[in-house]
Amino acid sequence: MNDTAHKRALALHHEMEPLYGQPKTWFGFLGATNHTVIGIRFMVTAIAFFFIGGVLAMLIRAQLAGPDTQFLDAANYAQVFTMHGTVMMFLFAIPLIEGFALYMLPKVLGARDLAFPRLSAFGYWCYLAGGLILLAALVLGIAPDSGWFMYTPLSSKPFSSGINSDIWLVGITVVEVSAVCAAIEFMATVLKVRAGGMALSKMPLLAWYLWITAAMMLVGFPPLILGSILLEAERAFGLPFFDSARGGDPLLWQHLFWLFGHPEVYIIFLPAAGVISTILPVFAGRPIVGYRWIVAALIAQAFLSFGLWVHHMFTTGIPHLSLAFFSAASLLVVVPTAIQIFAWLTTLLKGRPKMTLPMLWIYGFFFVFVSGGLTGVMVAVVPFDWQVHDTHFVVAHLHYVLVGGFVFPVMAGIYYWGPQLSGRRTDQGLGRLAFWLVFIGFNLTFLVMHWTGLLGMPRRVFTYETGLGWDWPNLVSSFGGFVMAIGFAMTLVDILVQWRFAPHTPHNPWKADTLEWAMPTPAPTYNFASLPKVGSRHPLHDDPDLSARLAGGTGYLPGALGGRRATMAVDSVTGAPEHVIILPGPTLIPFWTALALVGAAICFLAGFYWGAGLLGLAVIGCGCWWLWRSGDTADPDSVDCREGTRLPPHHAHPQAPGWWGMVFTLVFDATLFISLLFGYLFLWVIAPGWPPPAFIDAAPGLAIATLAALAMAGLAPLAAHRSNLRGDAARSARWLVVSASANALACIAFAATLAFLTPPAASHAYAACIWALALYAILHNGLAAIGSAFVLARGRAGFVSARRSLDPRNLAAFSGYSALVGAVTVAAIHLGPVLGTG
Amino acid sequence: MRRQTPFSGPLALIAGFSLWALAFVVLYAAHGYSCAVGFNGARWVLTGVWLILLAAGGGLVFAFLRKPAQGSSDTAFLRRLGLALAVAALGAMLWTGMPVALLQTC
Repeated sequence: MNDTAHKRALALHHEMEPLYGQPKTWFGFLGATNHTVIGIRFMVTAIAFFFIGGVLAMLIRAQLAGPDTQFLDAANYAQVFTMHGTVMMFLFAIPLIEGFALYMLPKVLGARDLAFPRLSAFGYWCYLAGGLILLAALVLGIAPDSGWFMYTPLSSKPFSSGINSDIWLVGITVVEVSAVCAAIEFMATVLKVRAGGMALSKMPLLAWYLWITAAMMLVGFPPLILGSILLEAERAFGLPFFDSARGGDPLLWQHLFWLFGHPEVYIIFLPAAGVISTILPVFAGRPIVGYRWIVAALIAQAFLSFGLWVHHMFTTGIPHLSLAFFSAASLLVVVPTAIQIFAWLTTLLKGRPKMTLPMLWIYGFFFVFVSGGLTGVMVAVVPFDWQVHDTHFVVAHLHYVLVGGFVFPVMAGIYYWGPQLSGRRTDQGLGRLAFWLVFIGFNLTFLVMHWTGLLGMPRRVFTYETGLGWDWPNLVSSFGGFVMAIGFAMTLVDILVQWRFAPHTPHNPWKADTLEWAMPTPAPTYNFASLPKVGSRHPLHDDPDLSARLAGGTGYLPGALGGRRATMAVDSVTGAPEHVIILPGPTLIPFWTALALVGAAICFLAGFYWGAGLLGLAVIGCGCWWLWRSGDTADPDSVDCREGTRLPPHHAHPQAPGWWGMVFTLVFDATLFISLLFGYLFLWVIAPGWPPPAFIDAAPGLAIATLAALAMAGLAPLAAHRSNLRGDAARSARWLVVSASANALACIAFAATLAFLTPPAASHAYAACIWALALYAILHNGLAAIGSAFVLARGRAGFVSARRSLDPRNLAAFSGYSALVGAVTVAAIHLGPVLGTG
Repeated sequence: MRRQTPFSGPLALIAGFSLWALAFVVLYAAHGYSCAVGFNGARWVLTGVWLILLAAGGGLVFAFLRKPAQGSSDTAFLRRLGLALAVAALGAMLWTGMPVALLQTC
């Protein structure tokens, strides 16, 4: 870089850093929205939880090291092993993925931030608060103790009368809010927020992996969120969804949990596989083999992973033919996994691999993960699973898959991207020694544990008698566990020391080809002074000087756009520049919204339901405040993006991220509704104690009136949207009034159904299901009514015009969805007595 | 504005395995219901449903094949990927549904 270019780059840096950075005040700390800041917060918090989970694991291994150990009693042991699984799955693995994606996605996609920066900040506060609720319970000795998958009836009120299970259900649901926000964020970001020219066919594999993972999170989490709500409703208000004496079924919980729980394994694995697909070709010195095959394989894997959940339920008495479907799918999912592994091996064979520290962890991954995959094939076979179900064999298998498939690639990623984050080298410390301690310790612990399981030792027992042949294998596992713990502690020290004291790294130290290395290290808050134009999958190999050129302002949208944060959105398929996204700056709205939500959760836990309800209203109020501050009150001019391109701002474009945010929110919402409907039908067909003692009273008149209100509630916002597009603001406003009224009427009709026709909710699972379906409809029609009034007010305040039509368009989508599921709910409620007594 | 069809847009990526998911859910639900109510003709109904869904999968593959990989390299990329996934999903439907024709129903 010559002197002039250097001065230009420095000037741009001084122009952009204050705009994208956070003020060093409390406001700056609480109001940060920048993806680099939020991503690092997520990752640091997740790693802290990893070490907490690790300490809990050491307590488990200390207790099981010998027979008849008195170190922990049964009650404490139950809390410790429940919290170990809960912390590792919900507070470490998923949030680390979220943090990694938050930090890395905009960088590999050539953007300055994600599609919804405030949503990221909101998600972080929810995650932190949910995690702290669980941690506080652990310190106070009231932590969850029913196992990390909270099987009913063990977690039901009669067998778990304390607050322990409530803390899990409420705390984890708050954490899951964060995961759902992240999923919506990532879906919209990969679809729209990329560098100019970055077609889907030119997208880095890491973005593909994170995109597919986000899609899985979007449809994987709703069953568990629903299950948690239903179980908490049973525990708090007596609605008997899982109580077989009153028409419920404990198996419903297992279905809902594992509908989430098995895809969860792949939600954890796929981002780690994305890390491998990114790092391995760099050190093999050649592009990855089989790019298209890998993309196809991970899409297939994402789908197939939703067809495996019953393989956790092989011993529950489900008919054998059904077990065969899931056994077949469980064997089939090996194929896309193997495609990826063979692509990686072929890349290594065709390249010239370098034995660096990240690669050492990747080789460790190959050994451990493939071993776990092989035992996975074993437990996919029904008769074998019957033999080892609920033994330590399964514990060993799941640790091989999850530690091998997630922790090892994460360690590779930490050493690989360490220079990008810290600006310092990461290859000069104790890393290799730490790796070998972890690798040897891990295999000592869990390879031997397969044998312990085959000898018949069940999981979750707090001690065992001597003479069963379990003494030595347990002692070896405990010894190995402590060796592994020393290895992880050494890794932590190594990373902290190197990130603080190691020599500065040269630019792009690994000679990588992806865009996160086309920026100074450590990464500036704005990522790129100007945004890149991409012509292939290997932008840095095409143009090794890209970093300097971008820093000097050669590219799209150089510098600060009139003092506003901005990045570019593209056509989802071709990557052609489409519009400019004006990004929000620091704001306290996400913090206050999260605080209201967490306050509601805590009030609920304390049994202060009025307080919970009021704070729930405060969350809606904060949501309105949040949305009110979006958009503009005048039709904007297009923006000069340089490179011969002028683009409109996002609020004047139909493909704005907000639209896609609504689409993906509805995908999540629909999955939750389908899960609820599945629960209703499952209980009706499978649960004992049906038909119920009483159906709702027949009321065809009310059913027709509800449907009429729903029809108007669905059509009126659409008419308002169309009137707005034609420029007829007055007519649009009138339709919005109709929409608010029709949605309110639908709410009243559902409330009347509950008040006058439905048996008491606690009397039978049938009545509980009717209550759940109707309350879902009331919530949605209520939100649509508020939304109609909100859009009306936004229109009056000048935020809506024919060009700025996102508000009425999103309302039409949400209200249409609410009307549709409302109609299905009417059918489910009012046809029940006809089918049940016919 | 370029017009995206189901065979050239991002939906091409999920068409094949969405059909697999539908087949999986329909077969599992129909089997569970048949066993719960003690329906005697379940095997024939399930096999019939399976064959219909396989035919639908075959139809999807045929539809991809009828639309040659023309247009820009970006849309051709999606179409080829969609075809590969539709073929894979058809194989997956064949494999995961095969037990209805081979095993005892309830």
